Amino acid sequence: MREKVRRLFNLNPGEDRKTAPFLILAFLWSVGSFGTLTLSEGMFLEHVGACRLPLSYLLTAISTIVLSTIFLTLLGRLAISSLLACALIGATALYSFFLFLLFQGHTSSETLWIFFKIIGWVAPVAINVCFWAFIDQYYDLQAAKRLFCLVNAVICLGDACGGALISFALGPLGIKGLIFLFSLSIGCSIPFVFLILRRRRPLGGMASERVVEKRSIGKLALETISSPFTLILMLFYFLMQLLAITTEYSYMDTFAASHEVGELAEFLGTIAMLVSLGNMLFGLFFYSRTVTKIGVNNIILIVPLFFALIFVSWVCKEALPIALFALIAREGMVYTFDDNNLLLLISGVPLKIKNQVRIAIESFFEPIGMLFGASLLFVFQTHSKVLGLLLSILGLVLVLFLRSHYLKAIFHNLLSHSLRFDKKAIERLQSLSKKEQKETESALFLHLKGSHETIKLLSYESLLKTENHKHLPRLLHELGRFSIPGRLRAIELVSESLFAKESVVVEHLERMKKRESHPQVKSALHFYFAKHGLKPTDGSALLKDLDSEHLGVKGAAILSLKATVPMARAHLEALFESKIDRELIMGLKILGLEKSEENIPRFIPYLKHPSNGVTRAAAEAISLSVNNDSTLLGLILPRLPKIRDSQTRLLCLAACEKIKDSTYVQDLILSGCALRGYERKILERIVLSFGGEITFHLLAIVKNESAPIRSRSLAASLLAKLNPPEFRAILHPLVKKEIERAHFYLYHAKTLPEEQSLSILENTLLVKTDESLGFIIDLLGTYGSFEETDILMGALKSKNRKMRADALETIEKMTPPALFTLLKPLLEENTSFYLKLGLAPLNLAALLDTLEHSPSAADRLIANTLKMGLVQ
Amino acid sequence: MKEQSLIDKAFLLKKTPLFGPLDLDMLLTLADKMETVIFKKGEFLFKKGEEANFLYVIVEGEMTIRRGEKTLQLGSSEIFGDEALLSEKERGYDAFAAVDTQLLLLSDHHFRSLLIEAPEIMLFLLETYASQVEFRER
Repeated sequence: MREKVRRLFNLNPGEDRKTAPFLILAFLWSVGSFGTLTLSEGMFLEHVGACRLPLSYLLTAISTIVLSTIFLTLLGRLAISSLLACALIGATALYSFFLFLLFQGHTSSETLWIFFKIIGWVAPVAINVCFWAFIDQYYDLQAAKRLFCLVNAVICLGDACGGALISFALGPLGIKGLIFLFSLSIGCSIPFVFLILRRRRPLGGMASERVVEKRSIGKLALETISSPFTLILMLFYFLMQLLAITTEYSYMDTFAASHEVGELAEFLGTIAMLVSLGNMLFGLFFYSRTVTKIGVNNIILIVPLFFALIFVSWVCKEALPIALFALIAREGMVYTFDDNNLLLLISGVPLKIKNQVRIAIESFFEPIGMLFGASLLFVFQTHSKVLGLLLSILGLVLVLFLRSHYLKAIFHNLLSHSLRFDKKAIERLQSLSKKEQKETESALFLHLKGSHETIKLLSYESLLKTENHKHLPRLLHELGRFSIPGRLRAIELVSESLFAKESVVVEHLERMKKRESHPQVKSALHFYFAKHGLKPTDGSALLKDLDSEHLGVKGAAILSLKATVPMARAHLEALFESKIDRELIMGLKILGLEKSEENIPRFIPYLKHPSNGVTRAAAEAISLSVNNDSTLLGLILPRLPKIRDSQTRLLCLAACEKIKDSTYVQDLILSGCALRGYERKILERIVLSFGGEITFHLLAIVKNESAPIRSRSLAASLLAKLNPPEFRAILHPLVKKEIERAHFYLYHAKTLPEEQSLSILENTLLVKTDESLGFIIDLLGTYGSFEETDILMGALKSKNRKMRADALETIEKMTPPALFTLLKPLLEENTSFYLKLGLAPLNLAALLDTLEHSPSAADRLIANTLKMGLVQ
Repeated sequence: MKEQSLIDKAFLLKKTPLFGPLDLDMLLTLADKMETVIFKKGEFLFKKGEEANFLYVIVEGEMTIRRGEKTLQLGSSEIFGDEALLSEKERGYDAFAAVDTQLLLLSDHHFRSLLIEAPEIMLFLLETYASQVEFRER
């Protein structure tokens, strides 16, 4: 029975129990708040009149703006659960206060009913926005598609029950009795907030609820503007507010004209009950199925279309049935579709401003919309239907924009949430605003005065990288305040900076050299001047320096004399034969400064030296020396994948970038399989500079099943940029083949007999499945014009359910439907789909035979090893 | 408690043995992704048996780690919470704020991305864990 109920509501196993507290919470507060809302509207019409509606909209708008501002301010300071609790307690208190006023006998005062209408509106808005921010923490996008409509349906049920209570109990209980019941209902919902907090953890963990992030309004505005999707979303919902107000006014006007005073509240109560029941049924049984079937992209079209149709009819003819349809659109479809759509569309808003945007749309835009709507209605009171028609057409235009930006927005969120080491420090610092740069520089100078030497050096390095001349005097002054090792490092940093030959720097270092007593520092300064060709010294002194025990002094002498004095050359060779890393590095630096391509074969072996210092010095020497001899690529590229140090790899790539020879493109891409982040960007830049002539090579790599997957992905991405038609032509067959391959690996991984000796085979097959899946996603992402598609695979495998859900959504939307039908079972790890593809399951012997003939070397190795093991 | 700027976070990470080997580029990228939370004195960050989602760096304050009868105090620049991220097991201990404490959070997802990009971090962790294990159970 439970299983049947679960399937009826389209729930996964276990979800019914987990969602129940949220449903009860939603029901209780919605009965109380929406019941009060409907009651307040009816009482307003009865005691004040429809003509004063614009005024009530105005006052309600102002009150909601004030409340929204308070919420936005509190958002970075309080946990979401605390905000929700405050909203519920606040609503209960306000209703109780109103009840008190009623008991005091102020029923004839218009102000009282205006006040009631205001709080009747404001309280549900406040609770609603806090509730959804609260529940959003517990569910990812895929679960949200199934469950949020259910929760919304329960809210509609609450609304319906509130309406029913008014309809049937207003007479017997009176308004005071009803308000008491509604207050009680909201009050009873408060313990459920704490129950949920105790029993469930937000998807990001408890700590994620406590993140402190104070943002200025300016920064919020900037982040909003930088996201076109967010801007359009907010504009759309603002417009829907105007449309809702205009529609409400239009049908209220019609109803007031066609009903007697005293009947209005009951009539509205009955209609509210029926519409809410309809909302509820649709939300319970149809919305999740509809959105799964037609997608978010299409479901968002329904409401604006419906409004447009209504207003087209209304402009042509005034009729009560049209007003009823308008009420259904306003009270029904807006809640059933638009509200549910917002819960899904909000996933496209940047994570850092998601809750702020939600508050802005649900509680800020609503009053602003009301304000504007009220203003428009003051002007166009008699032409409200024409106004409604214009607004609905505009709504349609905006929703089309939303459709086109939705997928990119979700992917952008995944991108912003992932850790990408593709930005240099200087780029990051330069991207800050002027104010932030100033604050950052002040912080850096503060750290420079600290006691922790590593931090001082890091500050020093950061300030040099800002390339700001104004800092030079202070930085030079700070040089003397480091310890000896720190001073040596600081001198090296200055030497590598663009200020190395500045006169003020040279003068300061000269004075420092005269004052300095420590031999290591003096020798480093010696080398500094020699390296930059700054200060030639007389030959006899230099000859003596060749035998100096201080490496820097010796190095300076070698550098100055090696061209003319054979003994200097001999000393240089001795450095290369040394077992001491410092001496080897010095030798590499000196020889590198010759900038001769003939030296490069000498540097190459040092790329695999165990010391990172040596490998970097070798790579730097290569980078300085390379000109345009393309045969050198044949020496550098085979070593690139084996280099462990990122800095060394970057320097080698800088060397490769200087050599413009497209015949090595295959070697470049194949050697780039181990490159990441910034390194990969440089490689892409190199290859793209060759232009369309390399299409053939790229195609060869993409189709080469024995090539590393990462190289194939890189080649595919470059092919898509250089020759899009060629890429599109191979995409479908390539992806289909890879999907079949992935299913092959997955099926056999999951159906192996359970033996200890086969665990290595199982792991290999699972790794191969992931590899194939990663390649497929890279290809599809490239097809969808997404950069950095590797984050999709990372997100799919993440423990963070929200990220997994967003990745699934992106993959689903970017994949052609025919391919997604084949891909979906793979994402769900459905092994039975392998058989549905008509592919033959293999026994162990046949499987090993297949792997033995695989183009992948790893497959062949595993197969041979296991075969030998089985024979033994 | 003073809110940490990007540079402050990066420099705090530099002081830790785990992130110390990273260069400025990586530290700023990492710092940009780490969020700040504040826990009041006595508040639990997590309890034994809970799912592990974050690694924590103490900015300011003090955390108490409690495992059975044993307790341990951790102060500024100290890191904890990494063990369960790698083992994918539940938390093996309680952690609560001994005083008002500000922490930086690194999510599980970002932690794994970092290990791929910076193998030296993985090596450091391996060395740390290996030094505490006399025999690896099979």
